[in-house]
Amino acid sequence: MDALTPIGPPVNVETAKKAAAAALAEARKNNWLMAVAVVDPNGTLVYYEKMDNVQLASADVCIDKARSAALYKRPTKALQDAIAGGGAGLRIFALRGAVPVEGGVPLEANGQLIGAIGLSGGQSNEDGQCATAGANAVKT
Amino acid sequence: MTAHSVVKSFIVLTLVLCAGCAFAQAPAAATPSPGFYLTPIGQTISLENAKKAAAAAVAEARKNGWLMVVAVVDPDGTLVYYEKMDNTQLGSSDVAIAKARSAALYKRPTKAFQDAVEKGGVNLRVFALKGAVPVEGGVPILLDGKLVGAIGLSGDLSEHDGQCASAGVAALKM
Repeated sequence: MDALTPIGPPVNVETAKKAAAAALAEARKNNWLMAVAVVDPNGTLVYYEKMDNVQLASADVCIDKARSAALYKRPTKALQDAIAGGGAGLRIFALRGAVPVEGGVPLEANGQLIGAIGLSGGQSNEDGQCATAGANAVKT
Repeated sequence: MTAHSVVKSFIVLTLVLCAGCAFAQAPAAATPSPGFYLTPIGQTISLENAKKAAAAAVAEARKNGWLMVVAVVDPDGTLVYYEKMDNTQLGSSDVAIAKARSAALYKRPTKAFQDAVEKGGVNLRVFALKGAVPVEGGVPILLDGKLVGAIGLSGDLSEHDGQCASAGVAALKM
C-alpha cells in the first residue's frame, strides 16, 4: 500500500464481515474489549459492531480510525509516528479526518485499496494488532 | 347589555372555543399513549440481540428485493451494530443511524414524527428538535418492558424501511 496504490471497488459486506470477525477473534483471544468498523475507500461505513461493555468512546473512535486509514491510504500508526517525531510532524493535527492513533489499517485486495478497518477499545498497539489481523484475513 | 359585559361574554366564548379546539385535536395527535413516555430505560441491548434484530430486518429486505442499511443503537444512541447491503444508496449510511438514534432518544417510532409533520401547523416544531428524524424506519426496542435501544433502516421507500425495522424488533419477541 503506497500513494500509487489504485483505489478499487468498495469492500462488500461479506468481506467486511470477514475482516471484522478476524479482528474480533484476535481481541477475544487476548481478552480485549473492542469496537470494530469497516469503511469503503470514501469512508462510508460498511460494517460495524461493538462488543458488550467496551468503553463507549470507542464507538466513534473506531469509525474515525477506519476513515483516516481509507482516506489517507495509510495506517493511522504512520500518522502517530509523525506526531511522535515532533516538529513539522505535528502538522498532522491540521489534516481533516486524520487520526494519529494506531488502530486503523487500509484493506487491500488484488493490489487495490478497497476500504479500511478501524479498531478501538484496548491500548492502541492492541487495537493495531487486531486491525492488522482483520486486514490480513481479507488480503488477496 | 353594557359594553363591558359584551367584552366579557366574548372572552368567555373565545375560551370555550379554544378549549374545544384543543380537545378536538388531542385524540388525533400522532403521539404514543402517555404510558409510553413512562417506559423505563433499561440496560444497553447486547451485541447478540442487536445482531439478531438486524439479521431479521435484513432478511425482510432480501425477501422483498430491497437494498437496506441497518443500524442498532443503545438507549443513548451509541452505535452497537451496523451493516450496509452492497449497492445500497450511500446516503442511507448516515440516515439509518440517525433514524435509530431518533427512535431511542425520543422513545417513539420515527413514524410518529412523520405523522406529526404531515399534519402541519404547530407540529412542524418537530424540525427544531435535535436529532428528531420525521421519516419512517426507526423503531424503539423494548425488552421486558424496558427500552434497551432502537433499530433504524434506510434504503428503500420509507414504509419499506419501517416494515423491515418492525421485522427486526419482532424477532426479539420470539
